[in-house]
Parts: sequence; C-alpha cells; structure tokens
Amino acid sequence: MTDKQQFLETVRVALRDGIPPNLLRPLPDTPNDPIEYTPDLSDTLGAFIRSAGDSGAELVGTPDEALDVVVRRVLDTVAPKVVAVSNDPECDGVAETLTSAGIEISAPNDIAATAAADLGITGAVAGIALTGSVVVDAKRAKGRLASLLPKVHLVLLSTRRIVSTPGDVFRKMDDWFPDGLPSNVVLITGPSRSADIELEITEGVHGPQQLLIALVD
Amino acid sequence: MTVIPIEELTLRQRTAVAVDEPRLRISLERATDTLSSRQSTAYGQFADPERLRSAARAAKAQVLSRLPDVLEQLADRLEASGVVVHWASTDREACDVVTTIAMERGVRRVVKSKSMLTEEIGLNQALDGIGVEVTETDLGEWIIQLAGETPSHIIVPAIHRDRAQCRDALQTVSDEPLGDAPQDLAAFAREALRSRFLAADMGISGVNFAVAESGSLILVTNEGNGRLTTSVPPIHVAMLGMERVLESWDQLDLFLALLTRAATGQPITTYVSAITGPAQAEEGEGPEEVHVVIVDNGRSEILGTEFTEMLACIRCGACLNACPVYRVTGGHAYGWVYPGPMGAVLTPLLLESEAAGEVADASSLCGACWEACPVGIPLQDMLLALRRRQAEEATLAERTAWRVWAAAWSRPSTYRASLRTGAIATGMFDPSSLRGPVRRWSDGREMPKVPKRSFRQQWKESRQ
Repeated sequence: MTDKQQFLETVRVALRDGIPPNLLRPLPDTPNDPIEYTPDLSDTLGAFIRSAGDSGAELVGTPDEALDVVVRRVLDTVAPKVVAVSNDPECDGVAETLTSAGIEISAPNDIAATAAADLGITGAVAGIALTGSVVVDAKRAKGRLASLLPKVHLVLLSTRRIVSTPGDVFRKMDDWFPDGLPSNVVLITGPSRSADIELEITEGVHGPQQLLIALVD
Repeated sequence: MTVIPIEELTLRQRTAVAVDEPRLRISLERATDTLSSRQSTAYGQFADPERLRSAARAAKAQVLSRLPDVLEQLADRLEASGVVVHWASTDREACDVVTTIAMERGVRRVVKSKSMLTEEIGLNQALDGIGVEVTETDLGEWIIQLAGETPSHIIVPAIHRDRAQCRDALQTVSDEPLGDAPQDLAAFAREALRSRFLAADMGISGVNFAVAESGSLILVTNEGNGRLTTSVPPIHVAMLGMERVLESWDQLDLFLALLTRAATGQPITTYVSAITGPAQAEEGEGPEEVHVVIVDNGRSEILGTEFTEMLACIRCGACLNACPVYRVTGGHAYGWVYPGPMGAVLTPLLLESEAAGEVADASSLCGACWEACPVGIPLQDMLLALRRRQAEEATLAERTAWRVWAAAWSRPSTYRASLRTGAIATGMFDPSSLRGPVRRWSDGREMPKVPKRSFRQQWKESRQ
C-alpha cells in the first residue's frame, strides 16, 4: 500500500521541471476577484424572494406575522402527524406551537423517527439573494436530518441574514463560522429534483419534495 | 445498448453500433441541445464569462503547479478534523482500501452517490467480489446499474435511455407494474431506495472539490442522494481524484459558479454540501467515521507533461454536449468511463493501451469543446497532440509502408504504375483476410474503391 510520502514524492517528481509552457495558448494570470453578476441585487430581500421562487421554493410567511401564526398555517396545509424540529435559534417557540396543536415532535437524533416525520423545521445561518439558497449549519441546528428526510422542509430565515451572492458566504467563511466549520454545511436551493429521465424535472426524488421558506425578523 | 468493451471492438465498430440505434440518436440530440442552451442562458448571469473562464484556468494551473503542497495541506486539515486519509497510487490500491475498511467493519450493505472515479477504478465490482451489496442511489445511475450498463454521460448517466427504457430497468425491482412518467418513476425510486439508505452500513461518495485550507469536501447534487449517502450511514468513504483539490474557499466560489452553470445551466444545484470531518459531539447526527481516499491512478503521469491542463477538468460534461461526435454516437462508443472530448483525451492518457489511443480519433477537431469548457482546457490541441504521439509510436511496418507509398507517389512513372496495381490489387484484396498485428490495424478499416480506369486514363481517352 502506498503511504503519504511515496504518493507525494511521485507527484513531486512529475513536477520536477514544472508545467511546460503552452506556446500556442499561454496560461493567463487573471486574478480570482469576486464574481460580478448581471442581475440587480441592490434590493437584497426582493431579489432573494424572486430567486427562491424561481428555484421552486414557496414563500409561506413574512416578518410582519407572528411565527406561531405562520407555523399554524403550514400545519393546516401540510397536515403532518409527526414533525422534526432543529435547534436553530429561529425555531425557538416552534415546539410549543406544535404541542399546543397536538402534533408529535420526533425524537432528536433518531434517524428512523426523523425519516417518519412528515415535516422538518429548521433555521438557516444565511440566505443568498442571487440564487435563493438557504444555508443550513449542522452545528447550529444540532443535527442535519430535519432538513433532509421529511417530505416537506420549512426553513425559517431571518431577513437580516440575507446576502447578495454565494461569494458573500464562501469568500467570508471565517466570519460566518468563527468557531470553525461544522461537520456539515449545506446550501439548499428549492426542492430536491432530478432530471435523469429524458431531462424532465421531477421533484422530491430523495430529499424534500417541497421547500417552504418563512422570513422572520 | 450495452457497454462495448474497448478491447473487443474498434472505435469504428463501436461507433457503427451506436449510430444504428434510432432511439439513442433522438434521446441524445434532444438532451445535448437542451443542456447546451441552458448553459448559454445561465452564463448570462455573469458580467464577463470569458474573464471567469480565464481566472479559472489560471487558478487551476496555480494549484497544479504546487499540487504536492496543496495535497499535504488538505491531508493535514482533514486529519485535524478527524478524517482518516488514505493514499492510493493505482485503481487496485484504491479498491483495496475500501474493501479493507468494509471487511474490518463488517459492512454488508453500501449506498453510493454518483462518482465517475469509482467507475474508473471499478469499485462496485471490487465490493461485489467480497460479497458487499452496492446500491447506486442517483436515479440515473440506479437505472443503468439495474440494466447492467455503464454511464454514457458524466452528468446524465442514463441519457441514452428514453422513459420506457428507464421504466423497464426499474421494473426489474418492482412488484407492481410501473408506468413510464418520470415523476412516477422518481417516486418509486424514493420509496424503494429510502429503506436501503436506512439499512446501509456505509456510504460511498465522490468529491466535486476538496478545499485544502479547511479540509472540506464539497458535494454538488440535485436529488439529495449525496446528502443521504454522507449523512445516514455510520461510515462515509469519499473517493477523491488527486487533481480535484482547490486551495481556498475563494477558488471554490469561482469553480462552483462555473460548474453548475456549465453542467446543467443551474445558477446553483439544489444541494451544495460542505463536509468537514465526522459528526461533532454536539451535532448529534451524521457519520461517526469519515475516510478520504486520495487517488492517483495515472494522474501523476499526466502532470508535468503537455497534457497537464487536462487535470483542470471539473467533470461538468459541457464538452460532451457541444461535441458533434458525441452528439451522434453517445458515450458508449468511446469504450470506457469517460466519453466525449474530455474522455477522448483522458482515456488514452489513463489507459495507455493501443486500443485506448484510438479514442483520440473520435473528434472533428472543431474546437467546440474548448469553447464550451468552463475552465478553458484547450481540448482540441490535446487531441491533435495525442494523434501526433500515436503516429510517432506507429509500428515500423506501418511507417515503412507509408514511406514506400510516399516515395512511389513522388515520381510520375512509379505513381502511374501504382494506380494500375492498385486497381488490380484492391479488387483482389480483402482486409479481413489479414492475420496477426496487421489485423488489428485493418479491423474497422475499409479499402477505398479504386476505379478500374484511373483519372489519367479517362482524361487521355476523352481527348482522343
């Protein structure tokens, strides 16, 4: 079996004389500056709502409404028996709303229980206006399955956490995750989809079939 | 259409089989047209797409020029986050690493998310060999696994099958009769595969990019099977081609923006996961064990040569969709796991056999691949260079024959004589009668039809 030193030595030997110059098409030295996009993102919130809609997500609540009103409305449409709830700060109070509505909350960190839930509710560490993505952090949520296993995912996103471009997250990872990266960060954009059969878009193949976004303060 | 092994039929024969499939041509044309036009639309979000392409080409060259250091940093960061790092020089070693982990942990069931590298190294067969049940969980990949095929497109593996053919493959594992609506087939797959995810002892994934500065593995998916594969089973094994490493998150921003737009025309895929180590104590959910297998398998032999830039390939499939050859033949005619222009360059470089070398001929050198490539790899220059290399390595017999021909046709008298001989000889000569090494050359080649009377003779006669 090859060990690290042998492996890297082979790579070093290959590069002994560097990469040969390409005389026909010389290598450029264009810097990797932040990407400039054409869509107007000056109204970050408006752009986020538009892009999220384009990606197939549904906006189900705005900061003007009380969270429990929004959650109850979602419960009326989805009619879940069991709900998985994350530990994101945006989810504070959600468990009480569910309990008072007589809905069971799945046991945390129990894969089978979360898989059996009809609805997963999480917060998000960020939203991205260009793409309509929400960023879900496993350490903040204390788990990663509530956004993945149930057929419907409701994400509560603070409007103050919406940035313009993916680069505003990726190029500032240290600011977003000052205590180091969690084991899992996922950018979620719309419902799970596949185009593997004749390129026809089908939703909900493995992840949630519906992505609901409620904007909170 | 089933796989045509590269050693059994020549390129021309494989192509002949492919173009003879009317349904394949319809599926391919529709799919490649759609994907190409989605790419152009998605690039419209960039203020200056050419500049990004140029920045990506520059960034990749920079990473490759300091690859040992970047890999070392990656390995250090991975280990610091609790990942077990393995190094594999060959396909065989890479498979051994995974089968050893599987045997030591008593793994019986594996779920996989789509990975071209595992196709390249034959991992499924290796696991099958030790009695581990492997399930491909990407919808297209599962369809072709059930059909006993290999992917014919690196992004849309079942691109060569229409909905009825996809249904037929899935029907083999369904007790109920299935319709052929894609939505229903996807719903069936969700149901059928969910229990396999929950029962799996190990998840195996590829890696789209590894970010060295934090030791993070980036997975770009739409269905969610990649998330399930890396989150539900207690062990996650990630297979990483050594060239897929980036130095920084700044670079990831650039390459991700290009990848999703070039591959499927999406501003971003449904899921982009960044995995950094196994689950942490306070997270509760996620794998307890994460392994990364860093694979060379011929890549270091490309590094430092005139083909180095091929290692900048991010496997988006844009060159396939743009290629006039791929659009007609599909992926199986290329004979190995990587089709299209990127495959026509990679296959000869990674396989190093005579049969593989021929794949470089599957191109019109039109340069559409280069134009479509989001990292600006000069693919057509490389195809030409590969042909030149092949010509230089041609057998002595072939080179002597060409020299005799060149000498003969340089003098009017011997040229005229050769035409007369040619007319007689071709009538008598049957290339399939050849034996030995010459036979390999003659297979798939046809003798040109030489007219009974040459142009010179006809010209003379007409003037009389």
